[in-house]
Parts: sequence; C-alpha cells; structure tokens
Amino acid sequence: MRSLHGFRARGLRLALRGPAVGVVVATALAPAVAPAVAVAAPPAKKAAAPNVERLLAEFAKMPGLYAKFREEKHMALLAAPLVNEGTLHFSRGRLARHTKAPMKSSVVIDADRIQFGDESGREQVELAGNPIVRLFVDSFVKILAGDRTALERIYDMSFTAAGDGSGGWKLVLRPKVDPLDKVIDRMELEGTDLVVAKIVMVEKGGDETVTTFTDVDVNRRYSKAEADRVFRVLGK
Amino acid sequence: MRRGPRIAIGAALLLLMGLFCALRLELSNEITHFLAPGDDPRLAKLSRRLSESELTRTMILSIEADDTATAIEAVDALEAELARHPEVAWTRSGWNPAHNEAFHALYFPKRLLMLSERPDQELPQLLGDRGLREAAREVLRQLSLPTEALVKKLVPADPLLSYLRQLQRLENARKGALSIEDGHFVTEDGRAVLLLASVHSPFVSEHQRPLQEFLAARFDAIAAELGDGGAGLELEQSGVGRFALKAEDTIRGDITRISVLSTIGIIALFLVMFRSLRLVLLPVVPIAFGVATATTVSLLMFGSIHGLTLAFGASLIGIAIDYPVHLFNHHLLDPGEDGAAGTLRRIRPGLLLGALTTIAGFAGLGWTSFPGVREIALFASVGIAAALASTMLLLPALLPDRPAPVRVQRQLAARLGALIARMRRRRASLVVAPVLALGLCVAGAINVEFEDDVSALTQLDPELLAEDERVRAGVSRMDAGRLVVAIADDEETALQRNDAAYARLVAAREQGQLEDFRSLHTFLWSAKLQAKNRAYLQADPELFQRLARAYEAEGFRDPAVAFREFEQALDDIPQQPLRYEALAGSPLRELMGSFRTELDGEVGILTFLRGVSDPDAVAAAVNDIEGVYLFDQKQTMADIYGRHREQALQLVFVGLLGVLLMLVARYRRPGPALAAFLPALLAGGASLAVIALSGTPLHLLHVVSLLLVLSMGVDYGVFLAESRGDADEEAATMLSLVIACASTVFAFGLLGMSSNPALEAIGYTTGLGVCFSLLLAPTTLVLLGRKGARS
Repeated sequence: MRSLHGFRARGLRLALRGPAVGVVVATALAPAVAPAVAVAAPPAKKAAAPNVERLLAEFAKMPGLYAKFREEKHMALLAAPLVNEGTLHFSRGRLARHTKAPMKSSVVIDADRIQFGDESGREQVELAGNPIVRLFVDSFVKILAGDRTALERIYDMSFTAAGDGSGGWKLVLRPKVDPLDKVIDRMELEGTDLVVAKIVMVEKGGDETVTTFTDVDVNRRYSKAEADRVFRVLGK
Repeated sequence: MRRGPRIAIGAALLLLMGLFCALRLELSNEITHFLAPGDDPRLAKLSRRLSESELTRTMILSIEADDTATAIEAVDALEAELARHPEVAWTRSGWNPAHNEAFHALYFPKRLLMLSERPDQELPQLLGDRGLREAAREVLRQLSLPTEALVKKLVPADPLLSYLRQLQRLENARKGALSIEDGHFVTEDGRAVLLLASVHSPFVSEHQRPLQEFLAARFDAIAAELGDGGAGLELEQSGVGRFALKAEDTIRGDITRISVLSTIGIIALFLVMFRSLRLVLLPVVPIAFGVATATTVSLLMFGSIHGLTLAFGASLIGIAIDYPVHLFNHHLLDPGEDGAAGTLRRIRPGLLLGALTTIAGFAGLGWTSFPGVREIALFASVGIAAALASTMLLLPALLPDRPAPVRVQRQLAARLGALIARMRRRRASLVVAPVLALGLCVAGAINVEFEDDVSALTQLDPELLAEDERVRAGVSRMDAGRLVVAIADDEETALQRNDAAYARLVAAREQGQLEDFRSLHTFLWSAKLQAKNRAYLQADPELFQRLARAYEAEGFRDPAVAFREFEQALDDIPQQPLRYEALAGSPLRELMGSFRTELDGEVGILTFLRGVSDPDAVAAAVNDIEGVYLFDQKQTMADIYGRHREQALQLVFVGLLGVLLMLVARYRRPGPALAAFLPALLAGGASLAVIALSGTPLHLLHVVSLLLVLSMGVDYGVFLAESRGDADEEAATMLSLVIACASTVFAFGLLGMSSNPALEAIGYTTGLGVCFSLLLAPTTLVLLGRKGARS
C-alpha cells in the first residue's frame, strides 16, 4: 500500500489554481504573524497603552525572533481539530516555520520564493512568477513589516481595546482585495498590552486555524551556521 | 561532323548543364542518407524518423551571467527575438502557467480512471475496509501538512486523492537538474535555459545557417546591452545543427582546397610533360563534362546531392583525367597520320574497355540499398561515361594535328620502354612483386578490423562537442539515440505495450540498470488500464458506504454528506478514457511532442532513457513484451552499416567478376586478361592491407574506395595489355600511366589530408591503390602478357 499512500501533495505549481493558492499560502503563513507582533511587546514597555501604530512600529524594530507555536486546525471535514506544534524563526527578512509534531514539515519564505518541505521532498513557488502568491505573502509580510499604509490597502482593520483596564485588545483584519477576500474571511489577533497571545484565521468556508505562542524570544540573533540550518526546508 | 559545330554543340551543352546545376544545386549532409532498411524495417524507419523528429530539431541554449537574474533577463530578451524568427517552431524558457489549467481540465474529470497504475495488485487492498481506513489516515496526514488547504479543497470530491497522485506522477517526471526560478528554467549552477525547436531539419544548412547567424547576432546585441559590454554574458548551446554546419563547412572547405591544390599540381605536371597551355587546359573539358553531367543527372534523379557524393565527384577528376592524358601522350609521342582522330582510333579500344570496366564496377554498387551509395554509383558511372564521351568526341577536334614533340616526354617514354625491356630480361625475379602484394593482402586480412559506427564518418569538433555535453549535463537531458519503443498497428495496443514497458523500466531503474526515463505513461495510460480502474471501483455497489464508514472511524465528520461529490463521481465514472487526441489538442501537447511517432501506418511510442548502465539487462527487461524494443540508434545504424559494408564488398567482387569476364571476352586468352586484371586486384587488396596494418579500422567508404582503385587499376592493366607487342606503344602507355598515377595521387593524396574521416579514407585507399597499380601493371604484363614486344 505504500505506493498509494505516503506521498505528499506535490505538484504544487500544477495545483495552484486561482484562490487555492491563497489557501495554501495563508495557512502556511498564519502562525508566523502573531509572534512577530509579540516581538514588539516586551513586558518592560507595558506602561504605554496599546494601539495599532505602536504594535506595527515596534514590530519593525525587531532584530530576530524565535517562538514555539501550537496550531489547531478546525475543519468542517473533521470531528476533532488537527494539532500541529513547532517553532518559528525570523531573521533578516527570512521566515521559517518548522512543524515538529505530529509530523515534521517546514515552510521557509524569503524575498523571492516560498518553499515547503517534509521528509518526502520539497516544493517551492517563485513569487516573481506568481502574482497571486505574492499578494498572499505580502498580506502577511506587511504585518511583519509594520507597513500600515500597505495593510490598509489590503485589509479593513479594526482595533478594539478592552474597556476593563486589563490592557487587552483585539485587532481584526478583513481582506478587501481579490482574491484574498475569496479565501480568508478575517484574521483576529488577540493580546494583552503589546503581547499577542493568539491568532485566529477564519476562512471563507468557515474553517478556522487557531495558533497560540509561547517562549517568545524577540531579540534572537542567529549565527550564520544556525541561520543556514534553520532557514532551510526539510526534504531533498 | 566538322570541328566547328561539334565544339559549339559541346560548349552549349556544358553551358546548359552548368546553368542548371548553379540554379538547382542543393547540398545535403544528412548521414541517414547512407541508411538502408535493416532486418527490422520499422527500426530503420524509426531511426530516420528520429533524425527528422522534434527531438533532433530541439536546441538547448544556456546563458551564464554574473547573476541568475541577468541570465534570466537575457533569456527573456533572446526568446522574444527568436520567437519571431521564421525558422523557430517554438521556444520554452520555463513552466507555462497555462499547463496548470489544462492539466486540471484534462485529468480531474478522469481522476478515478487513473487511480492505480497496477490495479490488480493495489486496488483489491485499497478498496477493502482496511485499505480505506489507511486511505483516510493518509488524508489526515495530508491535512496536517503545509499544503493542507489544497488537499482540503480536493478531498470532498476525491477522498482517495487520485488526482493528487497524478499530479505527483507529473511532478516526478518533470523533475530534473533544472529548477524553476522566477518562472524560468535554471540549472544548478545558475544558468538560465531556453529550449527551442527549428521548423526544418537541422541538417539543412539553408535554414540552419541563417538561424545560427541570427542567434549569434542577437545574443551579442543583448549581451552588449545587459552585460558589461557583453563581457559578463556567455551563451552555450546543445543541438545537432551546429555539428551539421561544421561538417558541411569542413567538406566544402576540403573540396575547395583539394580542387585548387590538385589543379595546380596537375597543371604543373602537364606543363612539364606536354609544354603546351592548350594541353593543360583541354583535360578540363572531360572533367567538366563528367562533373556537370553527373551533377545534372543526380539532381534530376534525387533532387539534391549529398556532400559526400560531391566530394566523390571531385575525386572523379582522378579517373576522368586519365583519358585525355592517354590520348595526349600517345598523340604527342606518335601522332596519327590523320591527326588526333587517328591517334584516338589507335587507343580507342583501350579507352573504351577501361571506361566500360570502370562503369561496370560502379554500376555494381547501384544494387546496394543505401541511397547515398546508390547516388555515388550513379554519379560516378554517369561522370565517367560523360568524360569518356567528351574525350572521344570533343578533344580530337581541339587537339593540333601535328603537335610539337616534347623532349622530356620522349626521354621519359624511352626510359620507361627500356625499363620494361629490362623487366622482360629478368622476368623470373618479377614474381616477387605480386607475391609480396599477395602476402600483404594475407597479413592485412588477418589483422583487419571493421568499424561500422556511423560517427566514424564524421569528425565532430571537440570544442563544440565539449560545449554540447556541458549543456546537456546541465539540463540532465535524456541520452540521445537510446530509447525504448513500443510499436503496434493501433494506438491502444501501442499504449498497452507502453504500460507494460513502463512497469519493467521502473523495476530496472530500482535495480540501477538505468538512471531515469521519460515515458508517455506519465501522461496517458491505455484505455484497458483505465477501464480496469473503473471496473474495480464499480465492482462493489457498497463502496461509498464502506468508504464513508472508514473515514468516519478515522475522525471525519459525516463523510456520507461531506463526500457527496465523490459519491456522484463514483456513479458517473467516465466511460470514455483519456485519449491521446485530448492531450494532443491541449496546451500539454508541447510536453509530449516527442513521445509518439507514426511508422508507416503503425504507432510508435517512445520512452527516453538516461544513464543506461546495463543495456543488455534493460533490453532483456523489455524485449519479451511483444512489439517493444530497446532501440539504440547508434548500434542499429552500426548493424545496418556493417551489413551493407559486407553487401558492398560482395558487390565489388561481383563487379570484379564482371570485369574479368569482359576482359576474357576481349582477349579470349587468360594471360592478357589476367595481366589486365591482377594489378587492380592485388593493388586494391594491398592498399586496404596497409591501412588495416596501420591500425585503422576499415569502414564502408574504404570499400567504396576499393572500387575506385580496382577501376583505375583495371584501366592501367587494360591500357598496357592493349599496347602489348609494340614496344613504342608500351613505352607511351607506360608514360601515360605514370602521368595518370601522378595526377591521381595529387587529387587523392590531398583527400587523405582532409579532416573528414570519410574523405580521408577515400584518399588513402585510392592514393595507395593507384601507386600499387602502377607498379604491378607492367609486372603482370611482363609475366602474363605472352605476346613479345617488337620495336
């Protein structure tokens, strides 16, 4: 039966048709966003009241990032959520997401391409040749870059602070450009003060991906050897 | 007819033929011109078809720059230019996004027909309860991967993931040394790659040369624009077009050089011997008539002339010039009472017999099934006949009736006469010469090796070859000329055979007998295999319910509802399989253009191989499938050439037998007939023996050249035999042979200096052969020509 099972969804270039590409990219990138925002939220700066400007501005100053994530995928297809756990890394414009359990896989993004890999092989999508993929990547990268102007071009943003003085807040991003708006209904980032604790991505079909973050190191600096190892996808 | 009108008619005829040749001359250098049907005509046809196929017409351009982005920019610019060129059929520099849509449109509706490549082995398990549970777990695994969203979208209509499996097959087939960067093919070392195909065969220089010139000019312009004055960009290419052009340039260059140098040599020789500018120029008449008539007739018969045939035509000078030489020599030494016509009457029997035996020898080659050799046979026969006719009909009218005697010529003739007289006095010791020649023949026969590899006829430029190999290595192109072919009367049977071959090749690859292969099976299965998938899926009416239960047990929510689309698909599995016509009519056709070929009403499906380390094992793996063969173009061509070398050799001997019979009929006694015949036989054998003993393997063109040696050798023997009994005539004829031999050596000795192995073979064989003939002709005359010489 190994010949029929045990393959991964390769042929991605062939499969990336229309909005499908957005779903792939969006779900691959979603966990990367929240801890990046958390970078800008060290407890020592708790005195300042949270707002969108500060969140984005602090993020732009981030030198590097390490975080653990736990991702729950709630799908209409499944009775119980699928759970992924792993680590996130960011440095010098490169982003890596390594899933450790239940199965190893990885995603690495740089300025030119997005790469996927697991033990059975790897795939990559060139951003220059795929404007749709570029849009989806940009829709996340602009959050990481703290580029409010670009974000407002892509999303309708609403920021709500908790009125109970706890410092809690919620930022909701609703895509307003095609085909992003065909794939993602909204992204909800929740936190306290400047610390993001959870991100929820709700797809148009109703499926949700809920990601929570721990052990966030907002000042992580990667040596060259470490970066070479971390920002590389699994597979041959 | 009087002199004036005869000369005028001859001049007009020559002019007309010259004009015709100038307007209609089309050179070809396609090596398959020398291909004939072998034991299996389908494989020979396949070989020809391959030489004309898109595979042969495809070129790979590889551009290196300081950085890959610049290389890609250069490829884009070059592709834009080339796409507009009328000789470019198509260009491809990266993955075409149109393929994505086409692939989905073709394969998604037929996904259930292509569920398993081995349905008998796999589907009973997969569609059993345990198999369905495993399939559900596989979907769960896929849903946990980063590509989950794609799978999630497909699962309701395809919970068995058959479409993704087909995507994976295609992706595996597409993989190679090339990666995709910015939508472009890029090699591992960062070179950008552009593929293109020419409209016409790359062997036709009329189309290929302008394309190559255009390519070079446009690349230079782009390099100057993008690079630092062009310094940063480098273009390399792979494709047969440049080799063909180089071969043609070499042949053209050799012909020009040889013609010029041999003409200079012959003019000098004639000036020394005849001291007359008129006699230097007059041999041009039969040569011109011979070449013009042969070219005209060949063009009328075949439409074009192969480069080797024309090269052989240039060599024709060596034979055709013997006739005027013989006439001039006799005329100057002993002019006929009524002028040149009288001299001609005296030597006419020898000329006619010599030419007839030569034509008989060449005509024998006409029975070979090689188009190229038949063309040479026709060219030579017609050329000789025309040269002889013009010698006999035109030259006497152009010669002075009473030529001034030439001292050098007379002295040489006298010495040669004395030499023959001395030889007669020491007749017994002359036996040594033919015995030595025979010994050489025996030694040569023991040591002879034959080379039937077609590539031995072409000298590939080492620099171009190295560049070609570099480019091919960079793109991991399939090996040229080695493939598996499935042949059948109809498409479906051919596809079934291809399915079977695919399975065997997968096993051979796993066993390391080959590195990789590309098969049409990646894109298309036989209708029978597709129907078998459908039959398994439709065999159990409860399949969907069992699948729903299995998926529910693995954690899927309400699969009976969620997978309703799949239930519908199961009810409506297409009756019509995916067929070749559908693929050929889609954008995917450009990925499959080379896989299928027509072979005179039969369908041939090709599988391309790379890195075959054990050809025998691969052949054994596929050859027991009916209609499936491991086809090695090089080996097939070598086999065919080998068979036809043997056939040509047999025809040479048949021709020789005909020549011997003609000589016996003429002389009616064995002595003179053998005296005329043996020098050629021994000289031909000895010349091949020397080449064989030098370590050079013999090939088809050595055999063809042997015929040339035999023809000229018989001429020498005949000329002397015709002169026997008259010491003055013998001396004059001996001088004719010396001059003829010297002129032939000029022409053929220079051919031996050619860089083209085919021309070189002709040169060495004939050059040595005529020298041996010159030595042996008087020897056998003295030994066997009984009639005593009178002064």
